[in-house]
Amino acid sequence: MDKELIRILHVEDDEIDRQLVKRILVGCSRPIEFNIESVNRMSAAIERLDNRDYDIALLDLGLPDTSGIESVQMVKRADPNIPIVVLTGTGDEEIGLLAIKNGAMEYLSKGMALEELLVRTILYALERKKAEMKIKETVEIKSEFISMVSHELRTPLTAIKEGIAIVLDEAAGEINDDQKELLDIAKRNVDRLARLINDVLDFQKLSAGKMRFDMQEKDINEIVKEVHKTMVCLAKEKGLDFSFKAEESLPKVSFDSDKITQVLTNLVNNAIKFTEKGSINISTNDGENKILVSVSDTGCGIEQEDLPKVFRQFEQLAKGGARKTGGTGLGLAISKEIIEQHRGKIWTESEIDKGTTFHFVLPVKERRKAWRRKS
Amino acid sequence: MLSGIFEKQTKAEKILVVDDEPDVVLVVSKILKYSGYNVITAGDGLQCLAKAESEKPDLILLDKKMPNMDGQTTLVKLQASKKTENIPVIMFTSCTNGEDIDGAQKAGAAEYVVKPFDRPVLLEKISRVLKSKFK
Repeated sequence: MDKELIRILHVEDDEIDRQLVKRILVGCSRPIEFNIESVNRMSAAIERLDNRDYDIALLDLGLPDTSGIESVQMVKRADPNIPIVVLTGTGDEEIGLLAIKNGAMEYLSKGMALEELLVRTILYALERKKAEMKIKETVEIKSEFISMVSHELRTPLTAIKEGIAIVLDEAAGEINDDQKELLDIAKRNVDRLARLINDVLDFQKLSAGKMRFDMQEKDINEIVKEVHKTMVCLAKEKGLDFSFKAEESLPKVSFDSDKITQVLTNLVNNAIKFTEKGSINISTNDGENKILVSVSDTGCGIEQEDLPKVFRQFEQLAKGGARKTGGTGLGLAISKEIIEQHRGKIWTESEIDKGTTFHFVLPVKERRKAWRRKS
Repeated sequence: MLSGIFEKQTKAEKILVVDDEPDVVLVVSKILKYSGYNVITAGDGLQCLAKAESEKPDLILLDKKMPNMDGQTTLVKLQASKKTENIPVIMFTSCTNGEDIDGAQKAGAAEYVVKPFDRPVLLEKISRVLKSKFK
């Protein structure tokens, strides 16, 4: 049987440690051949990683030209996919754990029973890497599949939507009231399908981290005001009062206007949908190093036990309510992704028959920096 | 031959609709016809290049994703030819992501429209592109 070949890049500046690792690996009794290349500087390691393929990196954290976690990060940057096993000095548990948090597969203390553990750890790291790559690939195939399907759905939808619209507009001749009513239903449902496809694509892109954000420093009141202005009519149609209480002179925050508008529109839409009488209010507040936006209503409210579910995809709590109003079941899941990718937070409070409030916060970059400088 | 402004004012603009989906071509053609445009059609990029040269449309509506020659390649070829380089192109895409839109704009599309589109939006973009062409 052929021996399995494992190519190792060993980054270590201490000659004795280097010999120790080499001796253990060469003397390994398993049917494995270790091909070990040693370098004693991070700069040399990066050069090697750029030019050659290795299966795994063994990394000492006390190099002359880098130290600690930075070493892990530099290797990751040079080759994002290489599994890293960190070798630390005795009693450096903390740095070992930190290395794992920063992407290392495992750490070994040089004082530990290295003979016992080194080979096993290397094999384990390689297997785990294989499994990780497999998962990554599956997720990618899935997300590509979803976006492909969604795109393929758009073309037939275009033909249906425009066909209906032409007839409805009587561009192709007069139609009677019954025909109009039926085509209106068809149109409404095609529009809903189009929204659903857009939402699925949006959610898919957001959760795969592939959505692009156009971040700009702005006053959040500007866009809240816009959303209030465009949606006040919708509330009025339902006999609801819709007010906007803006905190003046808010610090500027960095956000993508279109995306935050999407979140606000979604929250207000929900508020209107689930409120039969009373009012909707939207307010902005200054919260130290963040700004807070709240949308509250006097609607039916959400059961306490259902609160954790509201941000899940395709979770429509109101029986028939959301479906009747043409929701896609993705609005809040999308909103949550958008806010979290702004490094913000979104949550909700509710009381049955009293109403619901959705809050979100966005971090203020400048002030946080200034505060850090002071301390 | 008389060309340019005089001819254009007396005649509706000619639009070339290019899509590999016959149903989409048909529906878009009807929309344009009802709005007073002359319409010619093509089913792929190669046909588009041939018709653009022989029929000299005032505007091309070009689908991005097509077999044989996709919209982006077709657009690049249109712009590389002296005979067709001045014809403005509106690109249809079924993608909402930035890459597609950037790609269309970088390749030199005057506008892009995402499928399924809104008719008023489509017609508005067409008239804006045509207007800026004849300015």
